[in-house]
Amino acid sequence: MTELLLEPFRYEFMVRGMIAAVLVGFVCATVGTYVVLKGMAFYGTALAHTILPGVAVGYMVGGGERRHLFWWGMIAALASAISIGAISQKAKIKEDTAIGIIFAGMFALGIAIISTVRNYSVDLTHFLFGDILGVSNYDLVLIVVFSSVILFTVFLFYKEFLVVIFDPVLATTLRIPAKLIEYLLFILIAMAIVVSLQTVGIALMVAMLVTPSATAYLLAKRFSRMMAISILIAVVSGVLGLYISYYVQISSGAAIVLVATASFLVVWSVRMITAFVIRQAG
Amino acid sequence: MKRLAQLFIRRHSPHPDDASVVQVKNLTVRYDSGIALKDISFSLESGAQVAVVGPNGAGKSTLFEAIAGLLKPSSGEVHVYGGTPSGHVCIGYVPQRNRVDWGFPLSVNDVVMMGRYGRLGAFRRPGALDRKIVQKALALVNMEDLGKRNINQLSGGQQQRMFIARSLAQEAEVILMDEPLTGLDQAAQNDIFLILDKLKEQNVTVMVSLHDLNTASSYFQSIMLLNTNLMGFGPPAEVLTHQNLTRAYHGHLHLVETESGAMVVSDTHCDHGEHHV
Repeated sequence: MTELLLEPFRYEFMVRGMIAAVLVGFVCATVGTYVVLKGMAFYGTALAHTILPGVAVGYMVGGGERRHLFWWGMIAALASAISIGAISQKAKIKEDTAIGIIFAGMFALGIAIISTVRNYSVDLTHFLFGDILGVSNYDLVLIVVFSSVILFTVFLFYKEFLVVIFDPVLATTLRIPAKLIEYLLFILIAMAIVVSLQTVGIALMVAMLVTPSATAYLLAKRFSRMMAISILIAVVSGVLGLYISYYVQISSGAAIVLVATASFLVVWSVRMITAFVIRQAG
Repeated sequence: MKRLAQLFIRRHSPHPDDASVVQVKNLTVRYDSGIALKDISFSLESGAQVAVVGPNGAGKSTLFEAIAGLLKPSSGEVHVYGGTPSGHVCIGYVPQRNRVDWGFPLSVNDVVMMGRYGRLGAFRRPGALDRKIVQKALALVNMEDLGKRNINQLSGGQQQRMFIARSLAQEAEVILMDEPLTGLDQAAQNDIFLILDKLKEQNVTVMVSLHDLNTASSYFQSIMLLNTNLMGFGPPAEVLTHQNLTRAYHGHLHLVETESGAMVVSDTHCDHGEHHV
């Protein structure tokens, strides 16, 4: 058994992958707790897709060199987070429509840019579905730095984020700068997305943001506990998913997301059955 | 770290003795969709309790939002204790119950504690004093035993009282209650009135928007009749006259004249409470 657990760690890329999976799970679940409570799953999906043109430009500029993709992705994500935020402030059209337009438009732009390169499909696949085993030491340093920034910011503004998403009117009468705090949350989501770009990729990103937190929502009665459970589920999903992908030979991003999804389905079913039994008994 | 945290605490504007608690001068608020409030002027003294009545879309919520500093007047001025509302953390806004998501994983204590956040500043966690204030606030609204209860397990009246407790934890000296009685049964409404009595003893200034004119005139000494313009402000008998009500409601009320003034038999406009768009 021990051998089975330790076997993957003979490879350095697996060690780096494990560290990345744990950090990404931790960060996404922390931010994701706010995302789920505020109902921003669609915003998260959209934001993840809008970083593709940034990544694509970085890919072109670097001539296929992957080193700078993180920074290009970060620039694109922050720009998108702020512009989507600004659009939703004074929307003549409905917010989700505006987000939908930007999301698809930016994604198409990204694909258009990448498709100018011959044999682009392998790299595009990596952007879309992640390449956790390709995480370099340099990538790992960036993941650690930005994860720390995100977690420290949440530590500082934990209660401000909570009051702004629960009752923005109260936040204003308490003279907490609600708009600023909201933008800060958007920026943290954007950072979390870029941090997890290599782990799960653009297409599956939203699962890291919402699935563990949604499971935790079903289990927890208190906000702090919801966040803790969410982190636990996300980290376990990351590690377990990576093991499964190693032994079963499936895509690591997909494996991680499937573990998280399975945990949600189990908790949800147990809840439904319990509720049904209680109803029958009552 | 502590000094850094201090930067995030909004300095609480002073409360000069000679200033009115709330003073509104020629307040006008325009939205893209039209004018919501026009040329409103009035002032409130400390400890006043006012019922704000008027038909749907009369601008009751808009008035509260302007006083709380949630929106900027298109013209005119709002002063609270002589300063702009945005300089004060002493203005409590009790929202309509449907304005928040009751599915949040929060206990009653958690929500009432939020009232302390403005005084805590960033980075700081609530301490023993904050917990004591929360406990006291819950005691005043008769919910001291419900602190640990999840907010989705509260009755409508309890939800409303929790929000009042939150304003108290905020140490609010002006409390604006937006339709606090909507959807509550008579017993729950009476609980709210008992709390209003206690607030009066503590000299808290309260504005309550209502749609039931009979409730307004039987419980409040002071009534503000609003329909974009200020149609009347004073004792019920002076404000709720046949003439004023017809002007404010454009014939959407069935009125019966009595010795003490006009009495409302039914209100065809507000059967199901406010319908905000």
